[in-house]
Amino acid sequence: MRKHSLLACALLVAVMPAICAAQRGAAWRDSAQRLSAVVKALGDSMLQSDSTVTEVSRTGDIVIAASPAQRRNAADAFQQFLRTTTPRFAGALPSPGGFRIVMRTGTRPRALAGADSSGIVVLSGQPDGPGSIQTQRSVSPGDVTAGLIDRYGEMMIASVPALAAWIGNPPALSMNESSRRDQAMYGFVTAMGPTQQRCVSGGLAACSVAMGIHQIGGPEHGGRYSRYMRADLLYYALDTGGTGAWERLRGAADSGVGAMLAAAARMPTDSVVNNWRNGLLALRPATAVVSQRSALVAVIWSMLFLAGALGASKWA
Amino acid sequence: MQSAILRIQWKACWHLVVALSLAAFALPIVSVRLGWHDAAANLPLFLTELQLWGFFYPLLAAVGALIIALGIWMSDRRGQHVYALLLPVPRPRYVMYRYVAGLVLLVPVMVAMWIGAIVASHGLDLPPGIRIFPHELALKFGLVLLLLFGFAFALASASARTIGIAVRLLGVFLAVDVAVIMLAPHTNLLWSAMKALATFPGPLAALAGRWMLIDA
Repeated sequence: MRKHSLLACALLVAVMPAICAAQRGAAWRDSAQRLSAVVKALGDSMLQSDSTVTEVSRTGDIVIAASPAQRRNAADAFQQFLRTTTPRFAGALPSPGGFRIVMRTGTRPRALAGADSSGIVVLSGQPDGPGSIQTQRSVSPGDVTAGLIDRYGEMMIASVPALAAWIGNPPALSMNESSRRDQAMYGFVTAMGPTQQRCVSGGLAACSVAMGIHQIGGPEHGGRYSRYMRADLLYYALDTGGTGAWERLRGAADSGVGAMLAAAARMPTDSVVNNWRNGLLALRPATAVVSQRSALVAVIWSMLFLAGALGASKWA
Repeated sequence: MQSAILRIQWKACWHLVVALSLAAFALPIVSVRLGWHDAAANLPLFLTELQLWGFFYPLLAAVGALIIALGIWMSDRRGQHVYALLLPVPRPRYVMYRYVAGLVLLVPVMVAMWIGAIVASHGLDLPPGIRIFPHELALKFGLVLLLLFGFAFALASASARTIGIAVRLLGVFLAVDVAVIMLAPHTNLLWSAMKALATFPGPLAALAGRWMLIDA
């Protein structure tokens, strides 16, 4: 009997750590599941917004809604959103199932708050159902416009997989046009790779390779331009193509990047690349060059100063 | 008369002219050579550094113009204008002689900067999209030198009474500006005045823009 008791004790001591570990593991697993459920519920509630959010304005299939404190901000943001996105995307939706972008605005510190700045702005494309693609961000009230435009731009690029693979993360769609082109111009002319330099010198084949439009067989010499430059080329093609450019691009989605750009711009791929290249080179500043106007102004002012010195006063 | 005054000016200011010319010659060379070793790896950074160096061109022009203008009038001020009053020439003509002498003294400074820019940009292996502007930069430097020298010359030639009036007017303007800011915080007269001076057709518009020896 004693022998059996000792055996049972020994068995218990041997098995106990494993049982404890199993219990701890199960507890951790349950805890993680509960936590993920809470996070999911929180995310869902943010995406669904709340009952105070009502429609502010709509154009076509795109609707903007906001909570009371953000209605005016939302109306302004929507106007800016339409001004920025319509020329390129003409009201297209990133998904046939609709989309929803939720912007939560935070309350500023009491010392800075002139009014209640917390609230929700929801931009949605119809049908805004369970199948719609959704995203949400927390921003300051002043950043709602840029946030909506940028999220929409990301969704649009992501809606064409070949384009998304080519560009990756696009530069912010809300970015000032001249700043974006200026950065692209500097990126274009300061590249040091042999292929890139051939592109700057006018080699269109090199441009296609450097921009990742065409691949070349064998080892590749020289660098590739950044994805930022690719996005600039895409926006250029969309801007050049005008009405229906995005739909044409989407229609050529299965034919490769070059065909998509050509379809968007309504011209051969080489022409798109060549015009884009020439456009960037034309943006190069003649900053160190003195214009005739500024030279003339400098001479006139120096003459005026001299006249002042000649007749300023008698001997001191 | 002109050559005599020029000779006197040269004797009084030659060391300043040499120092300014050396600085003007060295500035473009130093600005390019310091960052050129890393330019192949990061050309945009090199251009940014060059842009920062560009602030020294108008600064050097301002310093040069001020020093030469003050140097030109120093002997007259020290001697209470007795020498000038003894000369059988009217004051405007005498001032003109001084002005031309000052311009002649500034020529070596501008030429030194031009040569320095040419030397600095010579033999650089730049990508095809990048351009160099040695002549344009020297021309801009010369124009700004002319402009600022004119201003400094007028200031230095003015009587103590005129300068006193100008300083008082400036003080009144600043006081009014402060009062206006207190009454209407969004109105800044000083800022508006600076903007007007620095943009076309203001006198300082020639200083605007990037001072780039090498640029896209």
